[in-house]
Amino acid sequence: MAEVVLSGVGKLFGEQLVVRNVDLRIADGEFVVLVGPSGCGKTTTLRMIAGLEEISEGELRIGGKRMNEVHPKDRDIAMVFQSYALYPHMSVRDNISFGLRMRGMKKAEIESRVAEAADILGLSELLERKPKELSGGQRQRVAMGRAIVRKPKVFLFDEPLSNLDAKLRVQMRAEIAKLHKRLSTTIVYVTHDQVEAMTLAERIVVMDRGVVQQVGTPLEVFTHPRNRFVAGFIGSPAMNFIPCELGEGPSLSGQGFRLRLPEVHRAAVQGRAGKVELGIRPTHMRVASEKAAGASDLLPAQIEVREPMGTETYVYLSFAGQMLCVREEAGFAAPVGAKVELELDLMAAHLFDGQSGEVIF
Amino acid sequence: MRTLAPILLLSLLAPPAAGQDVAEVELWHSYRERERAALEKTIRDFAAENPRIRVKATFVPYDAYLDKITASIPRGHGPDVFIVAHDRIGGWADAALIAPLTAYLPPGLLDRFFKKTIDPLTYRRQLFGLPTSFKSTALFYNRALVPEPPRTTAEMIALAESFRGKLDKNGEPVYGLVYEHSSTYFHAAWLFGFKGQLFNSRGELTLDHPGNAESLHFLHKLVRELHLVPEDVTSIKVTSLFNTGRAAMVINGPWFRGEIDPGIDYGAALLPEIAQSGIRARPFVGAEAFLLSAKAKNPEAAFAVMEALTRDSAARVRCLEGFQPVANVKVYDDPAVRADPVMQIFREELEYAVPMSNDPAMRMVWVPLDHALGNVAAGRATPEQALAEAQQRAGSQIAEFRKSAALKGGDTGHDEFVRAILWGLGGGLLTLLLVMAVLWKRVKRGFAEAVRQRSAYAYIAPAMLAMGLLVFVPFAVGLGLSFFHYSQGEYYYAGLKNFSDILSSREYPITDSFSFYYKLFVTIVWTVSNVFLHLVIGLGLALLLKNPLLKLKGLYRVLLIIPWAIPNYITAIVWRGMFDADEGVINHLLGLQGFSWWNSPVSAFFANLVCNCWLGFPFMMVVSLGALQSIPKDLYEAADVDGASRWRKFRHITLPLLKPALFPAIILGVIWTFNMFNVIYLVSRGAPNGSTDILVIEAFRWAFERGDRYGYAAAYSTLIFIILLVYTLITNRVTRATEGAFE
Ligand SMILES: Nc1ncnc2c1ncn2[C@@H]1O[C@H](COP(=O)(O)OP(=O)(O)O)[C@@H](O)[C@H]1O
Ligand SMILES: [Mg+2]
Repeated sequence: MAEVVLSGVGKLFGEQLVVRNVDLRIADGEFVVLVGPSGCGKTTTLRMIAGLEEISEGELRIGGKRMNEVHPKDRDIAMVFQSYALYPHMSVRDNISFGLRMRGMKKAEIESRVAEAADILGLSELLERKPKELSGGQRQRVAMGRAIVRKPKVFLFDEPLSNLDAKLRVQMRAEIAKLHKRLSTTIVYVTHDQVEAMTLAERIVVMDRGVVQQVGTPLEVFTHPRNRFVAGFIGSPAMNFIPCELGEGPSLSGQGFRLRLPEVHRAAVQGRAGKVELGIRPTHMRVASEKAAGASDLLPAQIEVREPMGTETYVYLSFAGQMLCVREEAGFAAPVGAKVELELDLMAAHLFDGQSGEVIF
Repeated sequence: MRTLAPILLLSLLAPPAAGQDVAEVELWHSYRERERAALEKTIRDFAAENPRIRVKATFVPYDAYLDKITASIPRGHGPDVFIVAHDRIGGWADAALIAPLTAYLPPGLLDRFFKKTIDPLTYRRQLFGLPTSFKSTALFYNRALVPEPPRTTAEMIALAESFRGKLDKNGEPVYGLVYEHSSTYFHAAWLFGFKGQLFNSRGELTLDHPGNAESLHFLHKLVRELHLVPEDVTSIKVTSLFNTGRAAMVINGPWFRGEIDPGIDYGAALLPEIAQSGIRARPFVGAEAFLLSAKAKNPEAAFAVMEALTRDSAARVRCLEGFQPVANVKVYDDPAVRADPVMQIFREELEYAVPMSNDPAMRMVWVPLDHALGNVAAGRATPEQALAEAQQRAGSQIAEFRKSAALKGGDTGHDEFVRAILWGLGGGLLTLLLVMAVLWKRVKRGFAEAVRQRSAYAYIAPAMLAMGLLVFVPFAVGLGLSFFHYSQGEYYYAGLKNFSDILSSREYPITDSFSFYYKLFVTIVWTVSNVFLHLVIGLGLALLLKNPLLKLKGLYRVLLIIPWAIPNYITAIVWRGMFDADEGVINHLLGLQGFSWWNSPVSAFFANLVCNCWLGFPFMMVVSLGALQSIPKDLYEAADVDGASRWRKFRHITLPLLKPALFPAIILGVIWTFNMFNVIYLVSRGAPNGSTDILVIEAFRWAFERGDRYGYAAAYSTLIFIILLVYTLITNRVTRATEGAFE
């Protein structure tokens, strides 16, 4: 077990810098999730940690030792590939024990480790099968088994659940969490699915276009996004963004509305003016009741779609040429096409600079 | 009858009376270029004078010539008259393919020919042909190097020795004497000059005659003791050395004149007198003659054509324009012919020459005696040992041949051959039905499928039909043939005798190079070593080509596939040249000039192996490359993380995942190599003594070099087929267990 430290790590493919200047300190035993849209450089970063991709700039340390030039096999890491990369001609047992055999471990020791891993992962019945005789979830487990028997310092997971169906994904997610608790090994986990990130991570690293946007606990990242990208990426359904003008008052004005900022935010916008974006999560908006209608701090909108989810209903409304999503009670019944007004909880809202996307509050 | 002949002739040659039919005579020949032009001219002259006989001349390429004649005459659509060398006469007369001319001969007609050209056309006291020309060898020399040709062998040796160590202006060695010393045809001059003989007066084989042995001692002296003649000699080499001024003297026939470079000032001389025996060297002479088909539609007209085309006037045209040493005595007195000293030399050489025997048994002497000559020239055997072995070999083949000839007289013949084919077809069909019965369920499903996919099957029907005709029919015929015995144009049912003879190694001890088991052993060693090397080289190159750091991959890939793209017989001929003892680039590079690769089974085998590896690795490379590309990259990455070394990744990932692709390639490679005729036939040519021949070549040789044992050869082929069939069935079972790793 060990600490993983990336300092100023970058990756060049030819001329193109696909990962730049990543500074990250992953504590011993920590579960860190790299999350970001497809193509943002997550896999590349993970592969640099694994040693499968050369580090173009910066330094990688594992357990305090510089690893840039160290061969993957000597980094004491284990990796679970997105494709699982199971050896198709070997039985499950041979797949799992391959790394141990390559390291010349004693037969008896291998046996007991394989048995242990198979037990943890529920593979004991399947040890003699070939990968092609397994289901997707079973293959995934074998890939994990191959990683855990080695008892490495660091586990690296590259989108391990992306090839599974939704239900299995939820189940495996839980198993991975359980596994981490049991082994308490350092884990670096890559996914493009923010739900997976939120549910698994002790700390989340949000990446976009090769750059780390924010690092923090799931709650931090959710409640205090550093910029518009993080705010929009984390949370489901995604945050609503309303372009507006920051003006006197201080107030926000846009097409057919004018909102006064509550007291708590005054300090943050002191001395600012011009284009901004108001970010507000669906949970922080409500369709105003008949009585409140006509009050000043409301947004006029029209109901387009209702998505009843059972415990709640998501309502999609058109407002000034864009769609807004609002979370409502399960019993919400206003008809599609109805013209309504939206009530905003500005205390919980965020404001982003219209140019840089940096958070203002 | 004899008295009638001249009258018949006259009536035919007279101008046609109104309303009389024109007789058509079909004439076949394999003459080319000058000889062909001259022949056609004499035919035109004949046509101008004889409007009542129309001669239809057909050129047939030599390669197919003899077989075509043998095959077409019995079926009645062959030539009426054809030109051929005399040595096949005995066999064809026995098989009644040709008719004796005695009945048509006017008295005195034969006086126009040299007697030596008539004798070889006589078989069992009957004349079977009218000679056109004769061909023997003589000594050609380069006037720039040899001012005066040698008269005796002592002079010849002294002269040749004077070239020892001599280099031409390019620094290449010049040889005193070059000829195909290990060929019976060329050696015959010395053999008869030493008073040796092939058959005695009773027609018994006498290869171990003391004169023969003396001639082989002489050969040994020329090649091994004095090193006057290069070890490896082919006819191409003779020509090229002479044409580049690097051979002072060569021994060759009249056809050689057409091959000599115009820039070489050459002369011809009689072969020298042999110092030890006091008589001249006596080369073989072969007569070429018009033969009359036994099935000629109008034999009188056909004979009239033969007679007219062998008159002095026609012979003069062939001599002067076709450069043929013609068989007509008077032509040599013609002033124009007198002016050609080379032609006069050949005429004079005829005085000493020995006609080649036209006994069919002679055809079984050539190869064993060639081997004996090769063994002595290479120092592998003493003349006495070599001849004893040749006597034994040729003797047993002739005995077999005569025994089967004695079978003749039963009520069999071509009907039997037809029956053989029917047997084969019937057997094949029965096997097919049997297989269908065993696999009935699958067959039923297959038929149902075929009905459903009617149009698809209609599209492939022509191809299936062609495949059936081209593969199944010959196969069935071959199979049928293996139960029969061929003798002189007819087939006799032999049951399983061919197989039992082969498998019990009846004629030869098991360790003899003629035994089936010896050949099987060679074939297996050949196959295993080849396929192993093809695989190692092909896979190695494929791994190199996959290396991400390698530049210009596409170029290398194309270059490496080239050996595969060139027809393999051309490659084989090129390698044969490259392995030449004196001129070959390989010996030059290795500094081994003079080392003959064909002298020992191991080196000859090695040369074959090198050539076939060159031909064979690209296939394995292409297959491996394709299979390598289909292995996902992340398996290697996973193995990297798992701590596998380069070798272990190869051993535990690459190899097992290549298996499904390589197995079929190996099966194919084994089958191709097992039956790789071209390379061995053209590179080592079986040398020494057939020890590098493999089973298919052996089948070929039994059919065409050892007395027409077609049935025996067919049985060989059938055995080869069975071996490969069993092999394929076994390996198929093994592969099925390994296939489909990626599913
Ligand atoms: N071997 C490569 N050569 C060139 N570009 C690459 C290579 N691998 C990845 N990239 C590029 O780098 C960027 C990041 O890729 P990756 O790390 O795989 O993204 P993801 O976050 O989806 O895992 C992408 O734009 C991709 O096209
Ligand atoms: Mg990725």
